[in-house]
Amino acid sequence: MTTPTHTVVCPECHRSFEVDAGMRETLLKAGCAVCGAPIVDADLTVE
Amino acid sequence: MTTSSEVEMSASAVDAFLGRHETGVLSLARDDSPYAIPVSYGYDEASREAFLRLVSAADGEKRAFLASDPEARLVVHDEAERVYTSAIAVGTLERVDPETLTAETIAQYGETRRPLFEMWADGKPDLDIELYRLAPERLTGRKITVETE
Repeated sequence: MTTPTHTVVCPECHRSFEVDAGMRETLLKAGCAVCGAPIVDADLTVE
Repeated sequence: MTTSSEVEMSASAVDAFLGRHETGVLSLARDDSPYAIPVSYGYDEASREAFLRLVSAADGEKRAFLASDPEARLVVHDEAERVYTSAIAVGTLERVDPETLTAETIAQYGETRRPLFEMWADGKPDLDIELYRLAPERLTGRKITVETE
């Protein structure tokens, strides 16, 4: 991972982890890696 | 009279078969105790790896079998019009730490069928949901066609 830019907190499973820009884009398309729930911008906070 | 033909599947046929399916049976063992559960999985044909989300309840027995990167066997099979097809992946089941996720693995888990969370009484925040990867040391498939004359 390059420098993390955001922290994501899944709205359904509540797991949180840091992501970089590339991972953020993928999360918004693919959903939470842990539980599969949709992820939206509101679930991400800027580092 | 019934005849059958059995064919060892090619690597590409095994990949296609595993890519078409999303569920199978995961077998683990600890000492002399076996453990097998139905699972959903995602399969990456390029790396020939299977990706799984495994869910444990706090008092479940699954955790004991998942400790320390266990040896595992994933079996996927189907039957259609007298053709019986199966694939078996044997290898080490490695836990994937969410802190080590990459865009590629996030995308892979996005393609992986989610577990049936509804079967647990607890909500997702209270479940132990862990990510795993099975990179098979052996990956084989077999197709048996039964014909009745």
